[in-house]
Amino acid sequence: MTLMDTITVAETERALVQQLQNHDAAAFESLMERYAGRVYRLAHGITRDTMAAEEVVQDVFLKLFSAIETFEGRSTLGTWIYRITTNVALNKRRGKRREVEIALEDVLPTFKPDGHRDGDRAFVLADWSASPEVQTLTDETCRRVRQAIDRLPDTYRTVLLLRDVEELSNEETASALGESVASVKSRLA
Amino acid sequence: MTCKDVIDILSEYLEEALDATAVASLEQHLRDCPPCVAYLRTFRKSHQLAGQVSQAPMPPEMKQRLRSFLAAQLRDSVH
Repeated sequence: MTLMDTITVAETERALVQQLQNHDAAAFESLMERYAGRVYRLAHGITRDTMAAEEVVQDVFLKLFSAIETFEGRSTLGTWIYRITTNVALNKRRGKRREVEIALEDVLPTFKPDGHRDGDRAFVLADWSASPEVQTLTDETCRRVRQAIDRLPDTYRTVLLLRDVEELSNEETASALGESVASVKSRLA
Repeated sequence: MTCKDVIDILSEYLEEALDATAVASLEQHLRDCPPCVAYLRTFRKSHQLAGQVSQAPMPPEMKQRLRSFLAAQLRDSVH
């Protein structure tokens, strides 16, 4: 995106926010067209449930209705919406029965005191990125990747969704979560 | 640069958010470290796959329900 594109997007967004703050019905329609799909995708990724995701989408847009006047433009509108969505979806998921979560310490890399990789040589050299299953992306591979994502702790899965599905940068992800960039990065390894 | 240093800044490297000195240092490490090359490839592919398999398009009928719901909310808020 060029600097001019960025400026144009920012101006369009500023105009949209102003219309929303004036309770312009067409602006709300435009907001819905632009963000409903993204809000649903993130809500579904966090809740892993179609009905719960639909409830989250409704709650998020209700909150947007009521809170748009407090939006001061300190983040982009998109990041603000992702932040609301993340909070509502994580609240919805709280208290629900969970899948067995993966023990992250079993899969994260380990290091020797000098900072170099530790562990079984075959494991540290394992590179499955070029394996036939991954290259052809069979249904079975997709199912196994989804299952692995499902077993991540909620906070890790949320970072992964914001980064890899919504394609936010580390800074935008941190802003959407109200956390530090270092905290986001620690969940990406 | 150690393997730990490399893994700490891998996401910025892939995001092209590192300065030239850090990139040179990281790439120098990769030239001599097969485990980090394997980690980098697996890391990149894992995140790419995660993005691919987590797409969930909003069903059209749900979008219609949302539109009706929001229109009603907006009408109520005006009255």
